[in-house]
Amino acid sequence: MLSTTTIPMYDRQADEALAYWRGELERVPAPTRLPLAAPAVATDARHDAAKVVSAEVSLPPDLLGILATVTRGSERLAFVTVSAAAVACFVRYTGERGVRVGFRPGASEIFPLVIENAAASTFRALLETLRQKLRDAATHARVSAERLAKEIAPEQIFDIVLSSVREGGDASAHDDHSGHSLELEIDTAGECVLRARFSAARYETGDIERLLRHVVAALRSGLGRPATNVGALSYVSADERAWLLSNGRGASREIEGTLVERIERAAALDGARVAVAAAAGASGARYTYAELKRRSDALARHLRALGVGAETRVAICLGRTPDFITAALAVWKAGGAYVPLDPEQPAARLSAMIEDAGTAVVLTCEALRERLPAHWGVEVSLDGAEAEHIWNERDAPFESTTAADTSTPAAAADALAYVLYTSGSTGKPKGVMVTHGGLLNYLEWATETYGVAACTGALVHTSVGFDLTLTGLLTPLLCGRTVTLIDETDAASAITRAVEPGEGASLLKLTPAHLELVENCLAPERAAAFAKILVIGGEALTGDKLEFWQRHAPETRLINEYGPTETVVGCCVYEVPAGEAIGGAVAIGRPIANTELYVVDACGELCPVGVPGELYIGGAGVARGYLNRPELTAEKFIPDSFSTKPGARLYRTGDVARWRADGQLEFLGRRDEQVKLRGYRIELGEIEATLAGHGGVRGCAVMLREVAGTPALVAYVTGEAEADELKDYLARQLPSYMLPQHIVRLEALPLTANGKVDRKALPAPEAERCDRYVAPRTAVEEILCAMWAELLMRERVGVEDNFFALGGHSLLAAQVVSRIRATLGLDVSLRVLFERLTVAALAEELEQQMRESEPETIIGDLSEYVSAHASAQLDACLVPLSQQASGVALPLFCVHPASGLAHLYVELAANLPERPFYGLQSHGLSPARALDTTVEAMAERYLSEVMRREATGPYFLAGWSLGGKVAFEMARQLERAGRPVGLVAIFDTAPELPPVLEIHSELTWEEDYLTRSGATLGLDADELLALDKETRIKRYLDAAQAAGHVPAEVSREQFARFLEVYATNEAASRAYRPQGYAGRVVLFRSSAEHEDLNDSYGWERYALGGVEVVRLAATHGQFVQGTSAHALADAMRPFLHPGARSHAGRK
Amino acid sequence: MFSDENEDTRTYKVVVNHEEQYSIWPADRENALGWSDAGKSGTKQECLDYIKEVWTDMRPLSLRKHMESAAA
Repeated sequence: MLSTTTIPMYDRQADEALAYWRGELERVPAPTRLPLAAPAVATDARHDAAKVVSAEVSLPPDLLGILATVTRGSERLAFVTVSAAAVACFVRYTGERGVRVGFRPGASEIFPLVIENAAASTFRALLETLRQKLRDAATHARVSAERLAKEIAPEQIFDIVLSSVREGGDASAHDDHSGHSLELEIDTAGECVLRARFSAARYETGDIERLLRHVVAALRSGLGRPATNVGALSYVSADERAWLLSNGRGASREIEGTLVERIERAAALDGARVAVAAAAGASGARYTYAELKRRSDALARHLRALGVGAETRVAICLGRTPDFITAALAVWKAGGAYVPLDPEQPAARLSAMIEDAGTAVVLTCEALRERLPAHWGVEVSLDGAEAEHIWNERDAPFESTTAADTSTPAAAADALAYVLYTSGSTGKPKGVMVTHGGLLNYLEWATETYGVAACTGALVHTSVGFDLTLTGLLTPLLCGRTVTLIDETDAASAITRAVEPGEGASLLKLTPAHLELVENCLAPERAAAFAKILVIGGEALTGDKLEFWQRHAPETRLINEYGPTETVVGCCVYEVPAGEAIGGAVAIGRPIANTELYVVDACGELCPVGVPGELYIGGAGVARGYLNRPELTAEKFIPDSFSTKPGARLYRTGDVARWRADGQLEFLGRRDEQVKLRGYRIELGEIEATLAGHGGVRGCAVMLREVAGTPALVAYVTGEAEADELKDYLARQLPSYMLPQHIVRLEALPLTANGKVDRKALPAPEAERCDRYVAPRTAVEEILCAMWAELLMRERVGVEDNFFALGGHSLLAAQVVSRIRATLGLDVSLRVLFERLTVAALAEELEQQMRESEPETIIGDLSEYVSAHASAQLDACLVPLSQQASGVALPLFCVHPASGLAHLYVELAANLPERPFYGLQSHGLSPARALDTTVEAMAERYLSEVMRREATGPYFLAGWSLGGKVAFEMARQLERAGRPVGLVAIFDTAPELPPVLEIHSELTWEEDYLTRSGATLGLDADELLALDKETRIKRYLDAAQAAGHVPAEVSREQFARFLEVYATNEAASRAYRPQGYAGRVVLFRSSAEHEDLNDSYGWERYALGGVEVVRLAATHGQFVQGTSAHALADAMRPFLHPGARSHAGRK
Repeated sequence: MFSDENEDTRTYKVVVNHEEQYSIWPADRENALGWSDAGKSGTKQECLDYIKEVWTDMRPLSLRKHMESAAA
């Protein structure tokens, strides 16, 4: 291209010319490219890559006449006029305002034609702009194109060239297609002919022929109405438009009756048939049609009595249980609308939904009650004792006859059926209001099209908060079949359950990612019997995901269903023809009944075949809008200007799609997934579809993310293909600006709860190389590293390695969960695993769980402390004792007593749930670490840890026994450092007395402890004292382990170390001499003991700001534990709120 | 909307249909069948703000009437 064509150059003016062109190119940063699909890749495509083919069209005689008149016979002007029409088409095809193409007005000259805002000008103005550009080019184009290419834009300057072929000119002179993909020759010699010469690898001939016709149509329309804006210029012929409209319209059919009537009718046919059942193995119920009717009638009566009627929103938090369906039917019978609450969702989100939906009633069950956030509605637990009267009422069928009746057909279509929350781009979920008319329209269509009546029923494994689930949940009920529900909390576990023998139901609806999971755990010979029909929705589907089924289950129908929640579950479907091999994206097909689909360009006009545009949906399924969001509703639900039905509305999906020449719709991606990288507009979905077309790719996701501070395209792929192989493959298929800079191979893509690719969980590309090995540091980390290494078949796994980057996937994750249960006895959900993708993060969570699960074990023999905390948790001084999220309130730090362990505060932490709660334990508990021998040294160390956790304070400190002294010393050190102290709480500790344990002066601490504890094991004190220290410890430990007081795995070294810490702490406590502290302390003291001491135990001599004394009826030994923990928490609370200091100072 | 538009600077008008459902429409385009001007035009945001004020009951008019007559 440029490199072979030289513009006459005058050196003197070169710099000036260069500056001019640089300025021109900056106006539109990337060359115009036609967004047309590349032809399907044939096996020998590489050989054809350079092949140039052509297509041409002649101007019809009448148009030729008009052109000749307007241009007064000037060939140059004719060229410019036809070029303007072509530019108009480029604007409309690309949806970009600016245009940057090559312009070749003469035989050898070629320069960039850059028009900044072509979309906004009239055809006449565009023509004038072109003429001006030609004149400017003549003035400035005195620079070699080679130099231009080298100095201005190292990448391609243009992809399309408009060239003029004139009388006597030689078209073959332009045979240089090494750079651009399309050259549009405007041959004005004699009859005007438009000839396109284009790369066969890049374009379908049909698309280019259509483009040529569009240029001709735009020319006609521009010449006819030159004052029309380019954006409003019609370039699609009337026939083409009629085809687009009729092809986008689904069959029209009458919908009769209401959903409830339809289900009742099915029930009346065979009441004894099972309507809904929990999957085998679950404890859940199963209901026949008669029972379902009886129960939903009874509940509807109750709801009516509670005031539920038309438009009343009722929340249902029942998981995937048969009673979810009971509840939904009852709500509808009562006239209301339901709001599904998936109990797996975070409480904050459930709370936001309940509040936004203004639900008057919440239907739940005993098992899920505690997951519900606080709400104002009436709570009805369907299996609770107070609900028994609901089911016991007379069996009279429910009749909806109250005033606000909406079950009469006239009103039913507009009545609200459910409100379903989807995530909003702003992060605030939005409630989509779906009406009965839209829901029934979809269900009737789906029941019929999917042949549900010929199935045994449907198996449901997805969340009730996901609208994809409605297909399996309701279509069987319209035709007397059975809904089988898998109530596993995690989608991945549910899907593995679905493939267990015996759970077969003939219809299964799932996402592409779930389909892959099923394939992974289903033996090929069982595939054929697995399902009659697989309906795949929720995310873009590529052909590679279907191969397994096409090969092993040729009889199974495969359906790709598309539809946003805003237009009810599905509005467009494609049934894969038997045996059809599909490379890349699977079409989404044609609209369902009573539905209209439009692909619309940036100017609000219909896009022709092959050209991508935003998908708009009209018809019966269009939702009422977003609850409480009139402005968002008005923005997304717009007037339907294509409809003949007055006042009709369209939903703007934000999805990009295009019509294929065979009349099927193709989904290309989300509008907001279109990214711009270095000026190029990139459809991530296009890269994904191309990747999926490679035989060695099973799944993929592409995203734009920062890598080492630079935005880059990162492709994540699963399958056998090597990264280098894929890079080569993509380079043959895609323009260079669309090539991913990083290709990360994963064993499987991380999924959200709804089975869509979880883009947030995709690892940063650096993680693909686990060259930064970090060895395990705790016992739990060691166990996890070994477990992962085995499951992931790695030689070793470091604690910072990402599970997915190492090749983990959902099924392996499920195995991790079960192994953790087996080896550590802890239950961890898949969700937690997916949030904590490294051993370090997961170990932290598990260790936290271990700490929380042990309050009962820490009361009792000292040695149990040691065993419970053997090695794993003794590493850090600072240990979180509650799960309270940080940042809500300032944390409370509680220092260990002489034992060195902080776990005796667990109950206190549990009684202060509003507070982040940390325990501090002795540094020396880990044998490798130094022992702190003074209270001052402990305070100093703990402060450095506390300050890492809480940078600014004020600091809330407390401690029992020795811990009280350390807390006081920490406060004193903080004061000296000028740091604020929020509270010093001393739990029953006097400054100058040793803590409670009596020490026999003639015995060491260790001798004293072992003889006293040994007595409970039947060991003779004198015998023990006669042994040397090491043997004595061994003798004691053997006896304690034999008696089961100490688990066998506690080593002698560990136990000896524990005794050493204890003894050292006792000594430090006795040696501590407090110094003055200017602030106040709060002393919580026993009212039962130490009556020999004064009211404030003597602290008033050191706490110069005063001592506030709070008396509690507890002994020293049980001061912070058991029943005292509750009383102590209550007594502390006034000192923990923000105004605590002034309160404390009042006394 | 063009892809390079971060902000839509066109002039819009507020339109309403027979069910008293509101929406916005480019001011220079002819109304779609069954939609009429609600008497407000301006930037997209101004129009949406106006709708937020006036569209207080999002039930379609016919449903509202039906519920009222059923309650009477």
